[in-house]
Amino acid sequence: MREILLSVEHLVTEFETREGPLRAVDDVSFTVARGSTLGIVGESGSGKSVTALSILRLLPGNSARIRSGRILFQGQDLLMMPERVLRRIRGRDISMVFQDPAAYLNPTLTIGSQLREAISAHRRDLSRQAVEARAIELLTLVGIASPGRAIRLYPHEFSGGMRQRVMIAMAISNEPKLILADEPTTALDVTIQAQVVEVLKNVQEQTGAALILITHDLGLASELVDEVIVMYGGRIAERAPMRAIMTDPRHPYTVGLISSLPRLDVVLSRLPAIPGQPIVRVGDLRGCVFASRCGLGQGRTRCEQETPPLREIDRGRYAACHYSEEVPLWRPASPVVKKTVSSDTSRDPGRLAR
Amino acid sequence: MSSDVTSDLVQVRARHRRSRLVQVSSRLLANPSGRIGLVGLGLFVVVAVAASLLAPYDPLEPDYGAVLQAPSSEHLFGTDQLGRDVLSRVIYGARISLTVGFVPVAAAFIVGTAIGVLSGFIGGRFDATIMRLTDIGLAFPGILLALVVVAVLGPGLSNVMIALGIADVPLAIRVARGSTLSIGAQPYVQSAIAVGCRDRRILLRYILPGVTAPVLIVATLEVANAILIASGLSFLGLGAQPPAPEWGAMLAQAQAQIQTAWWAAVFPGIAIVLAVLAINLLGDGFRDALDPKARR
Repeated sequence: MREILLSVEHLVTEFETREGPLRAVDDVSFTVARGSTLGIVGESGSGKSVTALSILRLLPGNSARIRSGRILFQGQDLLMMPERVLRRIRGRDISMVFQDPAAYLNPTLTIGSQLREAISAHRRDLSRQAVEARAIELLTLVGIASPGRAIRLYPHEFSGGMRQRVMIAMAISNEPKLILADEPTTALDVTIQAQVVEVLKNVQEQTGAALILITHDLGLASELVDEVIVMYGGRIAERAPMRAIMTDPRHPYTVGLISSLPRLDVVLSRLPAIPGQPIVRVGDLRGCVFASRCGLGQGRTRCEQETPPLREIDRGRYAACHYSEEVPLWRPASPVVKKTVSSDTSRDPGRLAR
Repeated sequence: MSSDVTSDLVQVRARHRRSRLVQVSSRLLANPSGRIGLVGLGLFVVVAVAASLLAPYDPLEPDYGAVLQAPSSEHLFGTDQLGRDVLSRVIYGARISLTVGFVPVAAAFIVGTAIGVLSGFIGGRFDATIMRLTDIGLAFPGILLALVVVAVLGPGLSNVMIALGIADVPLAIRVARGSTLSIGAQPYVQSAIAVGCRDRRILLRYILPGVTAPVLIVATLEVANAILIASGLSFLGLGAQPPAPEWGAMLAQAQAQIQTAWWAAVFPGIAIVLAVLAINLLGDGFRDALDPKARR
């Protein structure tokens, strides 16, 4: 077992709203080993981004509160650290790749000056030339052609994919031990997504950094991570190795998430969706967060009375469902299959064994 | 053909890379009101600086042999009740009015911007306290505050300037704080924090450059306002004291003879209007030139 790098314990993060505190992250715990990759998957509002922002304490100070929990990074609690100390960790030990590089790069500064800033914020000993050389080296590493020219350009002169490469270059500039990638490909079109995933994979392997990939795209996660956490309503629904979760989900929400992926092996009249709306949690909640949308629970009183704990249901597999043993036998009503495409043209016939 | 394309690209790149100052000034000049305002204010500045060269007579020396003469080739704007050349007095008046307009506003906006940026950046109780204080400051009409200061410190131009400066600080704080909050909420500032930038660096490199634009616009408009208030106070006898050739004071002295000698009142009045107009136009031009949404 590799050494634990990051350990999030019982994290609770809330936002102040007019109606009362909105619980965005509720009792989330997980660990990340050195050099490992973890995906956090869930729909909008599931708390996955807030979890990542909580780690670096980047949430807006006037509305967000981390209510309780510990976030241990190399044994130190990031939540108890004074801002001054935390600043030295940000960008050096833990760095972040944001969703929309157009918004997260300063439009008035050149790529080079932002990259130099990221480097020299933690390396005050480096000479100007050394910083410059490092900037060019980083741009080369993320696959930007003619980096010497690129450092003099402004973000708006770059395409979306190029900008995301720059963000990745900034994130790895100090050889971090952990990279938090918050929906790094969402703002990009599909062909560029693949390239950026490739870059992310390469730098992760080359720097040996651990990676937390936050995404709503299970397909993307499957290309990058070994283990995945599925979040719903601020809670962890399921945690499992990537391969296992795709073929054998143990939480009704995960089943819904997987079956709403487009498939190449069958033609459906329409894409299956999870009924109902994502939950917004203001005020107290009893029972399972997914109960109102769950096809398996069907209004069983236990689901409405008791919050299911995240329990180990198999080796390395955890699910927060009272009836997770029933999940492999249960299949949600699926839409009409219009026709089955011969399996050799499908992308992954083994996927979603039904 | 292909070299044309390349040179076009080079030009495009060059345009992007021009410094911000050049960009803003070229946009300012492309804007009609900005252009007129800049030229107008430029003329006033030239007149003020070169007053001793341009003025045909001494602005203060009375000439009792030439009292209240109508405009003529000798005295283009005529003479006042003490026989002083109105043109010379209007020319020297430009010095006083520009000083009274710019000095207090510049001082107030430097101080106010610093306080406002810190207030918005630090937030919390500090911010709330500063905001309540500016609320109190803004609740006083500027002219009332000026009257109070003059009543306490006594009449005179420098006291008027102190009053104008004090009156503008809360406004500057408000403007600077507002833009600090909006820039501070930009994702790229969050990204700078995530990279591990120090607060000082974020303030100087990310917040302050964005705050200068709105502050500059409001400050320019306030200069015109300050000139107006100073003239008004001088007209009431609270600002510039005779024999200083201040435009408002000249108006006050000339009002008794306005039916017989209109020129002694009209020309300083026109000077006030033109100066205020030029600065307001410049302020409008700045607003258009600095507005990121209007950028092409």
